[in-house]
Amino acid sequence: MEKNADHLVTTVNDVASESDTVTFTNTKFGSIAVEKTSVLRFPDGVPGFEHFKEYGLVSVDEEAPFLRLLSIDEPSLGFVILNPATIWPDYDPQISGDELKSLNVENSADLEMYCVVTLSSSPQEVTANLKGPIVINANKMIGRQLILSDERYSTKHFLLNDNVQTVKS
Amino acid sequence: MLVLTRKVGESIVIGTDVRVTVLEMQGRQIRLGIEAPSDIPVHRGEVYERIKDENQEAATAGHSGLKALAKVFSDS
Repeated sequence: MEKNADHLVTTVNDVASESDTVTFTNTKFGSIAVEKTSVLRFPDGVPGFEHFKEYGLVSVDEEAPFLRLLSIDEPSLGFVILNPATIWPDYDPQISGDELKSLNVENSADLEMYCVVTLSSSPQEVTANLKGPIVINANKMIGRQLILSDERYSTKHFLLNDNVQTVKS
Repeated sequence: MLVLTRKVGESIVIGTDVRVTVLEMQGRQIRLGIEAPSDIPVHRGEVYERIKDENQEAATAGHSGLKALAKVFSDS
């Protein structure tokens, strides 16, 4: 899997300067400016939120390695996402040629992958959705949430438990 | 809902470029063949619903513990 490129990510404290930025509001973070070129377009939205097609990928201080995928259209909509390789280095979903085509991927180096994290008040119950990875063509700035037929992965994989030891060592 | 009756080998066409063909019947199971352009995702209904439910849950979960959790992973 390719290492996720930093250029995609906007830091929440980045200063909005030029007119080539898009400013949007998020209920949690207030006003956020991202460069126009780093606006991600999800042509089909994501399942459950099909009407919202544009997102900004934002990093927040002290939340690394987690990132925020924030809707530009809907202030209350946002996801916490994570590069799955951080926790599951062996994660290797089978992605079909049609799916790559739907992202206009010409070069596999342009492909970045994230998983959606479902937080919980109990850290032990925080899960990641490895069944529906978010894939991004970083060159064209197109994103999709894939739905894998791969039976090895489910919508709920615990982040902690076995992984803690591996991560800390 | 539009309800159509089809025999094995027959198909229905949705729009101009989606075709669903009944390939085979075995007891309570029916095999369908779906031809669609690559930009039209095709999924089993229940799997799509599971992803949708998970997205709803992820989008509404509180994030009070996120910084503490991030520390676990960034300390490695």
